[in-house]
Amino acid sequence: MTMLEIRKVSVRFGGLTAVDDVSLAVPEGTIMGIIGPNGAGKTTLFNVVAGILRPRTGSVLLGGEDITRLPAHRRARRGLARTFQRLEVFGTLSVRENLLVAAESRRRWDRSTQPAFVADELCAELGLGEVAESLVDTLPTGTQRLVELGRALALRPRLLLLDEASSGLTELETIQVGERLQRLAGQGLTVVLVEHDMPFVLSTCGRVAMLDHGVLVTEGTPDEVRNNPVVQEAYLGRNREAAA
Amino acid sequence: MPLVTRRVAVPVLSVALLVYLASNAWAGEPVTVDSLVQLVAFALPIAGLYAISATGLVVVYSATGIFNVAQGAIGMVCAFVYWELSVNRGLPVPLALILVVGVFAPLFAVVLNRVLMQRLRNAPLITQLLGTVGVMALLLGVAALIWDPTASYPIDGLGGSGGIHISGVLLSWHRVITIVTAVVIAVALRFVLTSTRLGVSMRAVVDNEDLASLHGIRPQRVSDTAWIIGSVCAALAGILIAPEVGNMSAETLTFFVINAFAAAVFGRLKSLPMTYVGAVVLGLIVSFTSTFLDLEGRWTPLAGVLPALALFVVLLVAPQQSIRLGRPVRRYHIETVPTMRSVLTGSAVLVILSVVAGLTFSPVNVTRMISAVTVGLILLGMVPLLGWAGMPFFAPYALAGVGAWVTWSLGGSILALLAAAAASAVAGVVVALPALRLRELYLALSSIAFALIAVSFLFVQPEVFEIPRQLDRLTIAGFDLSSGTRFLVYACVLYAILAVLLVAVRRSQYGRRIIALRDSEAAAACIGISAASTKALVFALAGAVAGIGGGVLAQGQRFASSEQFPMVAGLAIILSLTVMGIGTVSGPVAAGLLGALLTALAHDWAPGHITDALELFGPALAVLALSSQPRGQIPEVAARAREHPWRAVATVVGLAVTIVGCRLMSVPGEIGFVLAVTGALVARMLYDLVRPSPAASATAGDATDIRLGVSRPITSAHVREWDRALGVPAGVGREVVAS
Repeated sequence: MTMLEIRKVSVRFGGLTAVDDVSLAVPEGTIMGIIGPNGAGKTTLFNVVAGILRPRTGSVLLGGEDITRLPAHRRARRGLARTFQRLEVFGTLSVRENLLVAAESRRRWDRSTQPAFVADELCAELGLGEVAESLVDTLPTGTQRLVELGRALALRPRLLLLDEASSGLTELETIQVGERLQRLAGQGLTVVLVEHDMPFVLSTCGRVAMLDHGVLVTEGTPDEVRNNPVVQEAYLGRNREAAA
Repeated sequence: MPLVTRRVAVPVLSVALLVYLASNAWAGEPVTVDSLVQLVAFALPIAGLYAISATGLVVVYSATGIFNVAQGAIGMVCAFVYWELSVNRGLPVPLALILVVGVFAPLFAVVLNRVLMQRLRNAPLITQLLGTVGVMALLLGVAALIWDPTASYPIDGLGGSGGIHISGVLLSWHRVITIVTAVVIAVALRFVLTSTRLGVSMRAVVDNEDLASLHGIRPQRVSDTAWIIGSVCAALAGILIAPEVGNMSAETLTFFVINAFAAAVFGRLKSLPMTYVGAVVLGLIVSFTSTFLDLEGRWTPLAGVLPALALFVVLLVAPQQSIRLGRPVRRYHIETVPTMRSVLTGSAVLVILSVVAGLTFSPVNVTRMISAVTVGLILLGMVPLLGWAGMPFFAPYALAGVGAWVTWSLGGSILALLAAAAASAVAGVVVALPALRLRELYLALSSIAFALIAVSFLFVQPEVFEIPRQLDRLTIAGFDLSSGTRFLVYACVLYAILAVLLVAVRRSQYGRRIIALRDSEAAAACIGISAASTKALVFALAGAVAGIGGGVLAQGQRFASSEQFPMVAGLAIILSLTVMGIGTVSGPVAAGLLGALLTALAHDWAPGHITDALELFGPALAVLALSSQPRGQIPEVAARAREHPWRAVATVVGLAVTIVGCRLMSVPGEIGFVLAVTGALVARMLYDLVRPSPAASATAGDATDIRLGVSRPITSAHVREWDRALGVPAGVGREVVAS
């Protein structure tokens, strides 16, 4: 089953076309990585899927249902969770409360969950137990990223959108996040992530799509994308030179 | 409401209202060329005045990010100084003008900027706005002190008598000068802002102050200049309005500028040309009503609130994107969540104190306590709204007025009070509807407009407070509450119950949801929290509590009238709430008591002129307190009490000892009160003299505190502890810390 389908979506800011006629389908239980240089339209596409932005044309389907006209909070209630490129945490709530408020929100449309249990479990799972009662504003960026991830997972989503989840994390934490995502995908969670960390994308994702200047350049398995000459030219090749 | 619907529906409704008014209240003036010329000739000077005032607002806002509510008050003081020089001291008009506009206004602006506004630069919006509200109150106080408000201040228009005749209409020289001044300001500013280094600097500073200063721009000089421009505009507007209002009154001159808010918002607080367009439209509306309409009956007060209504309409129609104005990063102050135990203890203490005060205080002071607690109740409603949700809403008395009206018209019983809570909750939601999409500053402005419309138009309707009527005596379950003491205890019990309920809400999932929405609206939406319904909930909560406060006000005074709910008093009590601590349930009653204490001091102990001085220093102190401790006194004191628990204990012991001593020596209640406060302060000072040094009192547990070294300093005790834990020789850690 296709969990997320993006159909011919275009977004314009004034004269700039940030996303240009992009179509993409993500099957259930897949981890899809979206790569592309800065300004390629990755985050804009995320905002369209999450309901922060309305596309100029095109539609977004979640589990077969057209959600294009739904506001963000109604999409969340249909099982869509996300994190943000620039951290959006509830800074004056504690870590546990950050997870709790999401779990409580979920309980409003799914009475079967126990918010406090979900929050405590996630705290422990993400290694946030020690800082559970600290206010999030007082924590380092990497920990705040984990809080954001935990908050998204507390919703028990069907589709998880991660915007640069690995930035600010240590190498070890990144690997752990990758493993956790694969485990969750195995349980049926669909993940779409925007990422600059290429090894992370290529090792974690089942499928990879590349955007450039708002256009979908290619989409396929990590190997296909890695060997695509356009990708090598525009992205990987330049990165390798820069690294060398 | 989607934008398109709103942009069609709101103007259609506004036009429909105007057409309805026009058809019902048409004065019979024929629409001819002459009457139309008259319309324009009357509209343009008004537009000029609005434009000059609004220009000052826009320049200051766009260069410093501060919306200056005191703009009108600055103009008022300048107008009075001008009167003093030209009329009272007989200086020639041009000299007086130069002294006021060219010397006094700029100097005042620089002092104001350096002393206060610079410090408020990065404060949260509510603090910034209330800082300028405090300046407004201060200036009103100064003016009342120097220029006796009961005397009359006649002033002639500029340019003498006569003027230009245009198709039978005389446009006086003064009005011609007004129009010309507005045009000159427009042209001059246009040139300065687009074609000079100063203008570029101003835009750079607004964009990124740190970056601008790295490139050699001095932010302080830029903000000085902006305030000078704003102050000169205020002075010109004040001097030009003064003769138009006949006899100068400090309040009229001050609040005239609120009418100009609509024009400034029309220009989205950044575009001067659009501000001028807004000013002309406003001028035309006002002129149309006075030329062609003859408002009668219930519509009579409408003329006065037209600009406020216009502001409301502009805010509703303004496109969504324009909302994210001002500085993007506004940090809220972190408040600890009150525990159930602390609020229960506090509530019990409040009720016990009310019994003690009720039994020992003189009747007049019991009455003052009652009004203090009533103000506290009204302010308690503002805590979820301003303190938790961070929404600047400045119309507490408008919501309280609804509660008072319902309580009063239903006979003032306890049931009436509950109905009042329900009605005010509904009123809160109705007010919230347009406000749901408004952020920060625009919400603040719309609430000021709402407060004006409520008190000047809604509350004076025949169905509301027109006929003053006494309420029956209040009895609850056969218990007569007509004595002051009993009513005071009743009000405090109500306060305690509501405070406990509010803390319960804050600690519940609804409380978390409100804070989540305040911290990040985008993230809240992405976990399924609806901003609209959460905000509506907050407004309903605020309305219900403030409505009960209004109901208690009506019950206590046994009557209700529109004069009990003035817009400015609403701003003043919000100011004192912010000084005390906007997010705490103890802040409201502390704010009310502060007001009562000042009144008591002023009336009972101070000679006449000091009474005035106290009214003056109240807001001044408030503003200073706000700029030095923006999160409020109660959280600061509580934080310090947590750090030095023994000092808090010493203070309480000092308080208790003095109270007991006073009772033993039968000192009258009021003097005892002052002595008790003094006793507490003395005990605290004594403790500070003998207390152990902070380093020695630092505990090892602090070493694992995540905030250590960030918000709390690392002391040598910590270093010793680390040395011991790591098993290194003493002193090694110190070198590491030092390096």
